[in-house]
Amino acid sequence: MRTVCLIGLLALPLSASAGARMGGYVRVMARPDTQGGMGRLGYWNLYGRLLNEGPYAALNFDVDVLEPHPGANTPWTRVHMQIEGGSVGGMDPDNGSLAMFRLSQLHILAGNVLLPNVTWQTGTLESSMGDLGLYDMRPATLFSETVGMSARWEHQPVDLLVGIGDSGFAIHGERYNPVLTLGGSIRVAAGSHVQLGLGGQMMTEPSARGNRNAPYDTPGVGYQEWVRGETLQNFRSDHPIAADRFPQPLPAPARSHKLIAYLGAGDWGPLQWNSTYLSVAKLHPDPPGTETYMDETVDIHVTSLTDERTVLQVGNEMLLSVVPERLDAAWGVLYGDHTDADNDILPSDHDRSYASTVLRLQLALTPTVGLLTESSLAREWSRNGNQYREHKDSIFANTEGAPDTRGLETGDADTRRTWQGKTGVVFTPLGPGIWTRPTLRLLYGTQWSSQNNAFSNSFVDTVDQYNEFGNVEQHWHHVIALEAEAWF
Amino acid sequence: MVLIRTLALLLLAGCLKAKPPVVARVSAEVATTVTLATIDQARSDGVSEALIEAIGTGLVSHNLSLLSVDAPTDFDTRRTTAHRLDWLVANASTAPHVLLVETRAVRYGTVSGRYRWAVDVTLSMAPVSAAQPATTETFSVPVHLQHAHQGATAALEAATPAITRRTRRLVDDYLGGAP
Repeated sequence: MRTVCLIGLLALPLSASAGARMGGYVRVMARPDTQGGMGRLGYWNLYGRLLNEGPYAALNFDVDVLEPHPGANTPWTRVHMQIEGGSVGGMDPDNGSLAMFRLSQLHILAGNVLLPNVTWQTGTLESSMGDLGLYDMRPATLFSETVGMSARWEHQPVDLLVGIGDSGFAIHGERYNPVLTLGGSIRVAAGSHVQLGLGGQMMTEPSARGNRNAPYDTPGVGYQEWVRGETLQNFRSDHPIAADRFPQPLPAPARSHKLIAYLGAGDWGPLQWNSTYLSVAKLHPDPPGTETYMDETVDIHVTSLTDERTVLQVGNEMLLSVVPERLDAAWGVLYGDHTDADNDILPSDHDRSYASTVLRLQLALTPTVGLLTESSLAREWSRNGNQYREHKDSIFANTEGAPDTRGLETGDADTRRTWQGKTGVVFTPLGPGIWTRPTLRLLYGTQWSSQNNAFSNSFVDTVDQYNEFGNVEQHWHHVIALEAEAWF
Repeated sequence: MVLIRTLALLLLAGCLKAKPPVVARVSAEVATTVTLATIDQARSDGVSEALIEAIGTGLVSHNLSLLSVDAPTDFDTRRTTAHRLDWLVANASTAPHVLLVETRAVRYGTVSGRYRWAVDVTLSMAPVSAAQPATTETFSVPVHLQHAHQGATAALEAATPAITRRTRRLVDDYLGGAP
């Protein structure tokens, strides 16, 4: 309801002011899935965004409160906002519910104030050095959780950004505690063919005495009992008298950081552009969780159990014009390594590595009709043991071939291997080009995965005798899609 | 078989012919100036050659040819389209028509990994004889660039198909009303 009101309010100045703009992005599709899936070829966009992402809509609004006057060096100011979400009526289980949308960006820009060539930005601060379009991932992004103020100095060949703010609400939500964030980036053009970028941010969470949302540790909590949700149960086993108080939390430091790098090069013959992104991050510790046992509920503070998670991501995307105006290619490579030094027992997304490559070719048959083909190969490996189910009866195929009801593994293999192939006809009304949008597509996609039913589905996993739907084992998945994508 | 038929129909649809342009009775040159402004600079440089070439190709289909007239460095001092047209008429050499393409490229935010730009365009075409008022059209082209380093010139280049299409329509309108 609030979103509707917001859009309605925006519509007034947009229609009345020449300095107002609207833009956005939409992705719509119909993908009937006759194999029991939810209309997506695979689990996620490691295998390429194509056919693995659902519907999406983003609306950008810009209102020039004081319009810039080219050459006049007078102050200007603009309000920018973005509403986005992943649901469209009839295309996903949420049927276009506005609850799935959020006001993800809202900031005010001001230029030619105090310093020349500097744009001041207050509000949301997200800033990215670029996009791996084949994966729809942006590893070299800063301030994605931060609200505050930044200053961007743009003067060829340098683009310098400095920002400061608070990431508390984005990280903790209702359990807000300020997460002070400071960072910056620099991008330099080395001639007209090469771009270099570096950046970083650090976050620290102050501990205010008496604030229950500040970072704490509950003393004496073991990793295994915490992930099993048995901390309170074990404590009461050792301290059955209710008068024995659950251990009081102790303040703990909570810090995180991220470093990014970017190397871009191109405009050489058939090479349009090649972008390499590197991101090394130490994730911010988790907020507390709750446990309930025998009508008693306590907060478990786990700062020290979640403060050694790191993420390394390296991605590369190469855009080639193999035959100008006729055949384009895009080749992407992605490697990720997530480690959690606190955890060496539980298969987790924080303890895994993955590698993937995607190649897309688009041949223009006419200026507005083309053929698209894409293939991807990916390998995901769980550092802490079996995470993926290769068989419908994997419970009988886990470590040592025996059921383990106390085991922490969630499958019968520590590796998932995936291949996808996609092909079809595309309409590109604005002309040929692999990234020309809008594009309307009729696609067929197929996936082979070492994991059983490796796609969003409604299958019953249990192998007990009362499973009236039975179990299915299938490693191939086929999807036909009618879809369209546009930036506008 | 059904798939092949469908594909053939799709290809046929891709080959649909556009309506032929209005052709000038007498072949003539069109003195053309293209300018590019950014958020803080009124520039006369940085115009993409691809745009000028595309406009020239479009003019040929109207039995016209492009005579490129570079804007001087002080072109920005002429703030209004009327003043700029006056300058172009005065510098049109022997061309009987003038075409002024004023563009302004402004970067907005990012949306789903693309850098959103808007290219505002004012097209004006007039006879040098001034017997007829200028035919003008103003519009905005949304452009979404892939890379952060791409600037106003790249935005203008990306807007080229839309600008040339609208230019052809403007020339149609202009020639359609010509005596």
